[in-house]
Amino acid sequence: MIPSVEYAILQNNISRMVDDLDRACHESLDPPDGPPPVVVQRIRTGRRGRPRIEIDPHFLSHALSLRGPTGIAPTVGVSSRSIRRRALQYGLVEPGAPVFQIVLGPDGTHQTVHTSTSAPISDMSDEELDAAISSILQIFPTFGRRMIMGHLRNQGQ
Amino acid sequence: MSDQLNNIRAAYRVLENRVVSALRTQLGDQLRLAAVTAQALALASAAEQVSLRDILFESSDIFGSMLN
Repeated sequence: MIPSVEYAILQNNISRMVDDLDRACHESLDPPDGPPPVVVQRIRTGRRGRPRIEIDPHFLSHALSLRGPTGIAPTVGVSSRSIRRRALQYGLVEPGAPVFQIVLGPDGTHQTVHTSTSAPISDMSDEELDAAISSILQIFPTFGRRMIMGHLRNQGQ
Repeated sequence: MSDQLNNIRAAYRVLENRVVSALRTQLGDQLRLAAVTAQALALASAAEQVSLRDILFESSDIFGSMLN
């Protein structure tokens, strides 16, 4: 007969062996020799505000060839906007087109030209839009911007 | 002391060596580690069966002596 104390020790030891073996399944036989490379540093300048986030340019250049700022951000631990700003500062990416430009027209007046990367929300011309809004305001003089937008959307424009 | 108890003790010593060797040489090798885990669980199961059988025999002996 197995003594009860010996039996308890046996079961306990086997249970710990199984735990250790399970843990060893997830460990690597070839652990890394050194610490992971530091690609992000927060540099305190002594001035007001949050410390500046510096990203290693070589790492950023290589990372941007693999995926975009949104994909890199979780790996580095900073926001995608910080990735974009640093990439612009290092000259790794081209800045986008300006949102709007004020140009001098042939008649000597200044005109605002908007450039958009997204598709237009409507195919109405400026004149058609002005006419539609003025007709709405004649019927509903108290309408604000949001009500006018809703009315235009209701008309399918 | 029964042969079964001696067998279990001997098996435990062998298992102990195998577990130590596996933990030192087979880190991350899930297939071989699973084989050692299966051996450990088999020994635990065998010891449990022997223990249960002993308890049953002991209780039946007590029951028999009460009848006599």
